[in-house]
Amino acid sequence: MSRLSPAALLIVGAFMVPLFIELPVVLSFVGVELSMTASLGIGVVAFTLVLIWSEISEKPEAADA
Amino acid sequence: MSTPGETAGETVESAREMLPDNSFLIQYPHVSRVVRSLFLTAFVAFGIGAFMGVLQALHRTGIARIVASSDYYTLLTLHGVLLVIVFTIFFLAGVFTWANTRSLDRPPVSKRFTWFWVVTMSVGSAMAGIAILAGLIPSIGMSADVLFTFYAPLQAHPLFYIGLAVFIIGTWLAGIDWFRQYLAWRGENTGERIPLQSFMVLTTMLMWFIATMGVAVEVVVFLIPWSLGIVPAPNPLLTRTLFWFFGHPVVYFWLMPAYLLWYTVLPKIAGGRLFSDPLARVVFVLFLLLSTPVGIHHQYVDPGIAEGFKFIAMTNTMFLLLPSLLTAFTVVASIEHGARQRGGTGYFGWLKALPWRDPAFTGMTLAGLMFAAGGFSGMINAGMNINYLVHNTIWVPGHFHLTVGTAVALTFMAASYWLVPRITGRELYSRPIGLFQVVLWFVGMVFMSAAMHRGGLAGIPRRTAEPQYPQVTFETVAGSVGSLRLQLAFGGVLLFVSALLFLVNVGLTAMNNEPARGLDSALPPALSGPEQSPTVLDNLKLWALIAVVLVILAYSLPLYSIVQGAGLYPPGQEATPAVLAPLLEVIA
Ligand code: HEM
Ligand SMILES: [Cu+2]
Repeated sequence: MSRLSPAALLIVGAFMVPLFIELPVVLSFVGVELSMTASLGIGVVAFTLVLIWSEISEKPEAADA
Repeated sequence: MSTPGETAGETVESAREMLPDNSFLIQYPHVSRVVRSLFLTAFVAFGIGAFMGVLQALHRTGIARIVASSDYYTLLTLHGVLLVIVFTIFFLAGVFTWANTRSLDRPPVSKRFTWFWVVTMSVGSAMAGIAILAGLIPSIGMSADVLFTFYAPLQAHPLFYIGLAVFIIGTWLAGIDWFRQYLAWRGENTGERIPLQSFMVLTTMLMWFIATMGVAVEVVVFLIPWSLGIVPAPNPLLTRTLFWFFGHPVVYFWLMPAYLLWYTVLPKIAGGRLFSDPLARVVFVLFLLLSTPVGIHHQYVDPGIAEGFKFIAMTNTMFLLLPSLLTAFTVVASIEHGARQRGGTGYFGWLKALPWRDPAFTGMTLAGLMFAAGGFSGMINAGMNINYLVHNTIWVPGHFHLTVGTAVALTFMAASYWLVPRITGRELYSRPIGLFQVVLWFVGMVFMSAAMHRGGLAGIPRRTAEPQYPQVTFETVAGSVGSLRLQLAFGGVLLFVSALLFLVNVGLTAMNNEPARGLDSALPPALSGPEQSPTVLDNLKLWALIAVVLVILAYSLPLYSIVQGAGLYPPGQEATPAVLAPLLEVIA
């Protein structure tokens, strides 16, 4: 049993988009250069991690929770 | 579900029998029909407008130029007029017809009168739409490539202006219809507080009556006679000022119906109750008072208006933030109350208890969230000094795609998922598609609007088919201009896909033979009810009077000095091509 339903994943994913779109801008304020492609790449990795966290529950008893 | 052999009509009849007696459709079948026909026009306009939107996004970024750049203004005019005049106003007319009927618990006084304004609005829109579309076919010799602001001396075919005037008259008649409905209710309910939704409809319409005076004078006194060749070209500053007299309050005309939905429908969907009825009334009164005397904030760079008047407009604008901040507080408090009723706990844990699976809830909430971002960029626009940085750049469309393009448009789409089953009696075709669609709009808009804001800061102009200049390189804060272009176009494509999904979902709902479930549209009473507020809040005459006085204070001197300055018809003003000709000679 996954921790997040498809709908919840959709919402979490949606909320991550503005964060990674604005990340290069925020970093540029402190002189760090990050390209948009790299930032969105990090976003994809972050979302994949959320997905893995959601699908793999460590405790087996959580499986039927 | 239909069984073979049954005709669709029979199925609907039997489906209707399964609806509860207190559902809106059963109580007011005729009003439901009116709302359906208004929504239909709104959705057709939305579909065409969204298509123009994606064409523009691809065109101006140079990714795909499907039409000639010389036709860009035809597309852009169609996009602006269909989306912010036809889609928004037809939809809100439907919402107001529903809300006024529901909350007063009585239909409009005369069916005939109601259909009369629906037809008037439709004929006006069709006239303006035909005039714009004709611009794509040169042999017709008719065009209206004047954008939705129709600044003189850009000139459109008379059909465009006449259509606009007819449309506005239609909206006035609609307002009169809703007031008559209210007065009939008042006759039987002396001394009672105006039901909240009706209060919102009436204050909005009072604001609209005042606001449209500007555009009515502009169009009827100046633009129609000019386009017919009866009078010379008007003073451009005068017609611009009259336009913005209407052009700012019109944004509240779009927004107040969205607020109506956030205040009354959203708490119900979230499982709670409105936090405060008096606060909601205060907000609508503030909008009535402050919406109009601020229009000059769109004219900060116009020469011929003294800086002092611009400063007054700026001050009023900053006050206008107040009702929106009050709304943010009240709506979030109502949603939190709903979440706690559903068992949510903790400082932030209650967020998990909200009905995120429901496209109506999620759509309206995302719309509200984006409105907060739009409010911030709006404060930049409103500041006299910093406005110069962003004026007429693509930043400005970036701003209003968050406000009217999302806070309003996404709220309307989300509300449709809730409202369309109530006026058709048919179950929503697909909630998962609905959820995906509203989230896709949010994501698409994040891409497109962020790119527009940043492009604007770099100086990229708006209203330009090919904003690529060999002599100029735009300096961006982060990333390259190329990546901003991709981002804008990608967001535009996502938005267009989202719009299509919406239309398909609503279209299939209208043909769905499954009867709608859970149709109860009674609204739970507010936590703090109207009895706790002073009755003067319901004194519509008083507020309307103060609103008129404020408008006179804000506009009489500027208008006087504009007319004093260059007169009504300054010599040497002619239609655009003539004005541009000498300029082109100089360049050549
Ligand atoms: C499919 C979704 C949409 C896309 C891809 C889109 C795209 C665009 C683009 C690229 C522009 C700028 C054109 C330029 O300045 O050169 C624009 C302008 C505009 N958009 Fe949209 N838009 C969309 C939806 C909407 C919605 C829903 C609304 C309002 C309800 C809206 C209202 C406007 C207005 C008023 C303008 C300004 C027109 C003018 O400058 O005269 N758009 N849109
Ligand atoms: Cu404004």
